[in-house]
Amino acid sequence: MLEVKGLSLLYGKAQILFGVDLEVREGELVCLVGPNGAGKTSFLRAISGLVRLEAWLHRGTKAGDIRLTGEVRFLGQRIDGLLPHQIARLGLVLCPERRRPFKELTVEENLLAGGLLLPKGEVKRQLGFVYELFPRLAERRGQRAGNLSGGEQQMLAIGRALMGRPRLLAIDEPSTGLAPKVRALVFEQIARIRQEGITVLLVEQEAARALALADRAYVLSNGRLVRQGPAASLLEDPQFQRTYLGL
Amino acid sequence: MLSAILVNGLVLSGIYGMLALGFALTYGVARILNLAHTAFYMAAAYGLFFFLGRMGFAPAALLASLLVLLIALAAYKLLLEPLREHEATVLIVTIALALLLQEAVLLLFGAHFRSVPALLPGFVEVFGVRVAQQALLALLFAGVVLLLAWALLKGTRLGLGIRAAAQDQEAAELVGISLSRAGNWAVGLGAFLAALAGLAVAPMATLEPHMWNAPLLVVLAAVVLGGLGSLPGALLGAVVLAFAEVTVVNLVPGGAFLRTAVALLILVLVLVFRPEGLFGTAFAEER
Ligand SMILES: Nc1ncnc2c1ncn2[C@@H]1O[C@H](COP(=O)(O)OP(=O)(O)O)[C@@H](O)[C@H]1O
Ligand SMILES: [Mg+2]
Repeated sequence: MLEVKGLSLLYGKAQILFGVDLEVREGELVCLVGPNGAGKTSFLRAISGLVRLEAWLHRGTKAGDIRLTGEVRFLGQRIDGLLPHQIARLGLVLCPERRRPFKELTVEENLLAGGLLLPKGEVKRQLGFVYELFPRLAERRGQRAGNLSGGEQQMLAIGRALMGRPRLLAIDEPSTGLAPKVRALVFEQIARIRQEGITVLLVEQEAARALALADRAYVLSNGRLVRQGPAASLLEDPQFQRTYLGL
Repeated sequence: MLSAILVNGLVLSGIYGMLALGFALTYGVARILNLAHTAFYMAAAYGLFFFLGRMGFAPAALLASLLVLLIALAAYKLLLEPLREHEATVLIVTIALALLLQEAVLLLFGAHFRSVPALLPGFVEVFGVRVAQQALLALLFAGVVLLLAWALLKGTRLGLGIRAAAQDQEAAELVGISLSRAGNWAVGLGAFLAALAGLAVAPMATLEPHMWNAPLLVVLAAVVLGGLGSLPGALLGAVVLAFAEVTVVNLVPGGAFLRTAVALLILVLVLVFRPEGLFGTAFAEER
């Protein structure tokens, strides 16, 4: 479904990604783990088109000196030259780092904004689906998104991404900054989303929890893929346990 | 006295409201601090004056506003959008555009005061105040325009996309909104609102090539007061500025000469004491 080949990214002279190869097949839950600063967010920004957007918005200035090379294919189509709104329309939707709700809009307006990807007639049904998945959001539908708790904002961010009915949902660090109980809830919900038949690419700090959900995993370190394989075998690997699970 | 302030304040609120909302839209979505915004308003007023000599009011008004829309979109696509990252350059280009329009008006129409005949001549009495019927018409017009703009922003998918893009550019793109398209719409709507404000004042004001200066200061003060980028804030700011101006004009001897000073004073006070404005959280959070 998603095939990434030799993806490299440079911000000015700083190289962030070094020839990353990664694949996500239909129906899988694939996890990308790695230490802080490894380049996980940059990778998701690259495949979702945010890097292209950044380069376009800052074109002609120093901040626009961004080089992205390699190939990204989604459903067989090259997407590495596209902007996020084009990629989202193809069915690859990113739920971004730090959640990024439209703070001044209400919860429901945030979800409806996510539904701008759908034909008008299908929005209502999708909204029902998201409210069923996150009843909490239904209770808060009239509230300003900026007033939600961190956990609720994370549900909103995932719900907003789901509103576009993605074929592949990429989620960047959903559990970061949340209380332990809320984290558990977020992981449960990701498992639910997966049961709904949505393919998921998950980036997480909390590697043990994420790998427990995943089929396969990749480990990124200093912009390079250093390991990959079935999630279960990584979880049992003593070296991986020492380095990434702190055991 | 009080009713004079109320009635005139409302009329002026309508005009400033249209101007400030348009300015805030352009800034919020396209990230252009458009110092030519009130020059668009002037261009529409002169456009109306020019076309009125040749046709009826409605087609003249339509042509004038389309002309302004065209100027604004051309300036945006050709000059401003490509330069947007260089903020200082954008400011300079917009001020240059304003001066260009001013010089064009001077060249075409001279420095004399011009006027557009009122659609509704005569006066009526409202709460004991003698008000030009034309002013009431302008108030009604502004009310309808602002309601329609609000309905568009609050009640349509296009409006939702525009408001989302004003909040967070990247998140908006991630839900399938084209920033470039949202920017075009915001610039177009913003300029159109400025043009409508120009059409509304033309029959009440004297037209002269510097008529954009004082309203520019008012609009800047209004949006800074409301919080740069906040649409409700811009409207509220416009109402405050309108009433402050009308109050000073009515209560202070020689107050008519202090109009601009009021806006300037408010602008400075806000910048010193509450630079984020009243609703100024709108988009501090931008990656
Ligand atoms: N816009 C940028 N310009 C320059 N360097 C950046 C930019 N964004 C991220 N980086 C750098 O890229 C590296 C990887 O960051 P990131 O992708 O956020 O890692 P992770 O998500 O794995 O923590 C970091 O060293 C970070 O400083
Ligand atoms: Mg990250």
